[in-house]
Amino acid sequence: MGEFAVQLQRVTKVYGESRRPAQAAGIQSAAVNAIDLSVTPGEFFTLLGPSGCGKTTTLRLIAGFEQATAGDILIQGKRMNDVPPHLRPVNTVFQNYALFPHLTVAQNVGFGLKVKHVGAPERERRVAEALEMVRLSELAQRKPSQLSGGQQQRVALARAIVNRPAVLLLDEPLGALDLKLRKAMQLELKHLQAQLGMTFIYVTHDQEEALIMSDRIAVMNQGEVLQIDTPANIYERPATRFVADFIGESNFLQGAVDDIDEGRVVVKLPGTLRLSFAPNGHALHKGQDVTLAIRPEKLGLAHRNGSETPNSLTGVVRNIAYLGTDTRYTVELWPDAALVVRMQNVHGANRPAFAVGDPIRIEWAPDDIQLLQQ
Amino acid sequence: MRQRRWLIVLMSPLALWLGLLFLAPLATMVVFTFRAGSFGPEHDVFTLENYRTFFGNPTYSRLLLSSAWISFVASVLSILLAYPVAYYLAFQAGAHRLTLLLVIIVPAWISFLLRVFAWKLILGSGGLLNIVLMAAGLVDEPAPILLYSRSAVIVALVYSYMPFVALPIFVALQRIDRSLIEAASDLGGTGWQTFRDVILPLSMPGVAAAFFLIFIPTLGEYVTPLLLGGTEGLMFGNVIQSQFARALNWPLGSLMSLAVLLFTLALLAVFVRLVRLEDWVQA
Repeated sequence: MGEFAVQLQRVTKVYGESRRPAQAAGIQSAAVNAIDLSVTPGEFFTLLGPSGCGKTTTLRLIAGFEQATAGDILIQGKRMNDVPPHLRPVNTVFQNYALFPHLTVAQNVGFGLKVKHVGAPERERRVAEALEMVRLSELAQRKPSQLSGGQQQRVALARAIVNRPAVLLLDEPLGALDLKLRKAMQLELKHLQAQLGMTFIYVTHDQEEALIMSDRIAVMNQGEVLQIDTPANIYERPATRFVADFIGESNFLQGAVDDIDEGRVVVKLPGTLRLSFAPNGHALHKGQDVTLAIRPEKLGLAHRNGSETPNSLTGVVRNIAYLGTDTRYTVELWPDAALVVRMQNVHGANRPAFAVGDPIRIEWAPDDIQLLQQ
Repeated sequence: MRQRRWLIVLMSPLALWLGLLFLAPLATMVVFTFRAGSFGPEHDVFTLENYRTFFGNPTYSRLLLSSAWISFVASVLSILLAYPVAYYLAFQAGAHRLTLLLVIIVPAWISFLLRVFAWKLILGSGGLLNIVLMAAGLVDEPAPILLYSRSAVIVALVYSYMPFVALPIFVALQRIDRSLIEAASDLGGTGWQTFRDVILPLSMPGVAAAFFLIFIPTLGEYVTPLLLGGTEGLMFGNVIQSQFARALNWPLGSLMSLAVLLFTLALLAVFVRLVRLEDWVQA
């Protein structure tokens, strides 16, 4: 039973059902809808999604601040549905830090140990150790209002990890920090997590942050978990159009299955265009409508030279944006259909030059095309 | 500079008001403490006689201290009674909050005099309380000690000032960030520990405000002790009132008023030192 740090089984949360029990079944209003997920011990697990997707509700369900309407919440194999927050082996780092303004930094960090009657000598030792870990030892006697945002964030972190929880829950802990500090803290958090070997469940709406820090990511939207996978697979092999669109930039093409043959599938696009690639496990049938996704940086541009290859499309450059490390080309394939192509600005002399209005050919490796669930 | 001009324009009505109706009378009062009499030629004679009278007679300072004690007990009792009410309003009442808030405030709209007088009817020898006590067989004959006592004054003061005590405590509790309460329980705090270590300390500014909101006016009270206090429940306010209205000794009355003012200020200074209010105020 104990092989997972946290397990959610068909967990649903509907808000305000107590007032109108008759309408409790209205699934549309579910903040979280029958989600399943399993977090392994020591994992950095991220809940990623836009605001209102249910990621914070999911975290609050695990912490015990919200009660699940249906389903089971297991922490270290034990069912926790009816266990109040103060008896759960988890601690939370709150979005606004929620530091006690009337207590010093050291008292804030020692709060959890004090209420659990850990003796003063051990408490002091562990508080000092936790403050050392977040490099705040010299500020132990300050009040939270005397600290900067980044320092407050680290106090909140120390206050949680000092209790050695089985799982640390972090609700957008870096959201209030400026970009540079956020980048530094991302690495610091990741490092700290590895050092402690603690299970982290991290909520964020920042896809870059999720990719950098996580072992695995659960992408959520409208109360549902759309995909759970490693950052590389989430990016390279998105399961749905929402995932492909939310994480990074993506090109989408609508088409229909034309032919299936020896592990290759041929998709017919508008006009006479046909694309052939590996269907990566999707069960397909002839004539089915499909969406294809491909990342802009997986595409290459070449001047048209007459010879058409199977994995290429022709178009006209409509827009060029220079972005420093790379250049972003918008290529019109046919009316109302454009692809975005990003090409790295490698060594200047080798860089092919394209201009707006140039007829060009777009090329790619067939396996970079991702077929999406409808 | 424009802003400065506007500041002067906006501030002057208040400054005028305070100057004419607060500072000037206060100065007049202080000057009066040195006069030999209220009117006539004595009005223009300056003397320290009043100070000699006041400090020479320990009855005055003893009465001031006993009045302060009555006010203190009434303040503490009000806070103890009002805190659970304010707590319920802030955390439990939910949709009924406004209704319950009105229930607390509405009695204060009835004439103060009437409400104090009502206690006379309740506590009197033929009053409601005695009727109930006799009906319950707890006493055989009307207990006369209920009315005209220090306790009667305290009971009526607590009743009259409770709404003003409940409100600042309610506001302070209401202002506590709910995530702090969640954090306390997340860190393992039980309901009681969360109250003791987080909610109570964070509501202290409201409690302190409530304390002074009731302590200062009750120290100057004279209606309640006049109606309910008898000789035992006499307060300093009654003596001041009689110096002005009956003895027509305005100089001594002024000095007594000044004594109350300085006493309150001194107490406030000590209190602020002890509690260190700035510690509780969130940045």
